[in-house]
Amino acid sequence: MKYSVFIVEDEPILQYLYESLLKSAGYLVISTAKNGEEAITKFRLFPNKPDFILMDYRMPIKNGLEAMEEILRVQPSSKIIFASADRSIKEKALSSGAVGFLEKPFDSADLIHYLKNLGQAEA
Amino acid sequence: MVTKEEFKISEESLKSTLDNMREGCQIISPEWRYLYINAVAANHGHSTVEKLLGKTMMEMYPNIEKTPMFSELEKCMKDRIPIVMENQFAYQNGTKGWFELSIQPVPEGILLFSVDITNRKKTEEQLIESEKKYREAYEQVNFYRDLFTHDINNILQNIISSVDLCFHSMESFEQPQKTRDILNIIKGQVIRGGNLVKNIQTISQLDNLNTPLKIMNLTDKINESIKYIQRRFVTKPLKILTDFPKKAPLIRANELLLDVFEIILANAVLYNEKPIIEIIVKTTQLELDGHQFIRIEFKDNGWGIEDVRKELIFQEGHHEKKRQSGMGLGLSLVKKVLNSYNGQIWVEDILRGDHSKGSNFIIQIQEAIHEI
Repeated sequence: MKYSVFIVEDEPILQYLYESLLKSAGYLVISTAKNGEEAITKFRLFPNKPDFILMDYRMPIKNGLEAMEEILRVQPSSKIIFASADRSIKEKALSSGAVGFLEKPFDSADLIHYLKNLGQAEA
Repeated sequence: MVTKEEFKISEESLKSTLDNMREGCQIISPEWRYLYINAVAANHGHSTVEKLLGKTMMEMYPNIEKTPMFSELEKCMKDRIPIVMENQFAYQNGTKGWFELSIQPVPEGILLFSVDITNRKKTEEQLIESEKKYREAYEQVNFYRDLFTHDINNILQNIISSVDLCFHSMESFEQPQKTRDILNIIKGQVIRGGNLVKNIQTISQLDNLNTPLKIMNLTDKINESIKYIQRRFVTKPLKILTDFPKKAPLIRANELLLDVFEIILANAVLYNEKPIIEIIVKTTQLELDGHQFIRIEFKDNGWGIEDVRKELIFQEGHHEKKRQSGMGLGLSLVKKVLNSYNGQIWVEDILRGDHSKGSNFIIQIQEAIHEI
């Protein structure tokens, strides 16, 4: 089974790198968003919701926590993994519904390992 | 039984004690007349004992009856209760002094002891001001630390992810072009890290020094910055056009002007995904309120700036800024440098109401032509 991932990250280079890494690891990247607002809009429109959402925190218009709140309202079972340089929001993210937190800079293997474990838990 | 002689000696001794006290002392009658005042108290009122004795407070200090201090004197005189207060006294020459007053009811009226606390108050005010400055400096350090750690961690994330991808493409013998692209990302990120450090250094230089301004040829400086950007982004599909007046305008600036232009131009390149990155740099001379100004416009075809961010991107220390990434320290530094030249910067949409068509960063600064 190919798990789907939605990438929410405002840095285009990082969007590209995440996408390439996830694709090469066998994941399906269904879309990307460059801010929290765009993430919410796109998430509402997905006919098939993604298995995982890789979420940055510090983004223009709406940050990752605000976006997560809205997304969980649409689909409470959404699996959101934060990938952020802001260590200070880790607790808040996890207590607000994120299933994981990766502190930048992290090894790509950690991300893949994380997603694999979450996938196995789901299965 | 105290004899008249003994009473006189006692009264003289008391007067001598009051005369030689370090505190100001005065006795005021119910008609607000100075019955007794020592030299210290007279000096507190910028006057002399001779001038004050027998006169009323209102005669000597017009409008004193309208002051909060006088209300307290009235209260003590009427209710016969002691009062302690701090009072700021405004002199006729415009200066002010602070006094600690102890007001006591006595059979003759009221007795006032005064201590000059002006220096203490000034020290307290200086302490408050100094605390405010330290707090601001502390907040600024936190702000830079926050931005720096965020941006540097993003840069490191880009590098580590690129390296991982390189390993992957080596293992799977993927296209060498992709590996080259990724290596270029790594190189770009190292340059970005270097610029971040440079920006931090420039900001601390700005905070610590008053770099002197000198007259500069604006066209030369813009051209110098364009050459730097073309060298820095040699692999990018870059097209920079210029539109300058024949006679090069002069402005008062310093070497940080190059940083200003380079940051704006670099942002126009970095935040752009078009097949051809187009930037137009235009300078025009205009007259505003009888002064000659130069307007420098940097028009790009990049991502653009949403209306909600148009002011925030230039703000330093604004709490909203912590929620953003992207242009980071650069534009707040640009604004800070331009402020030191008495210049202005703002951003408009290339196509009004549609930020996605690109941005026009506009700098307005006074021309220095009349000063040479």
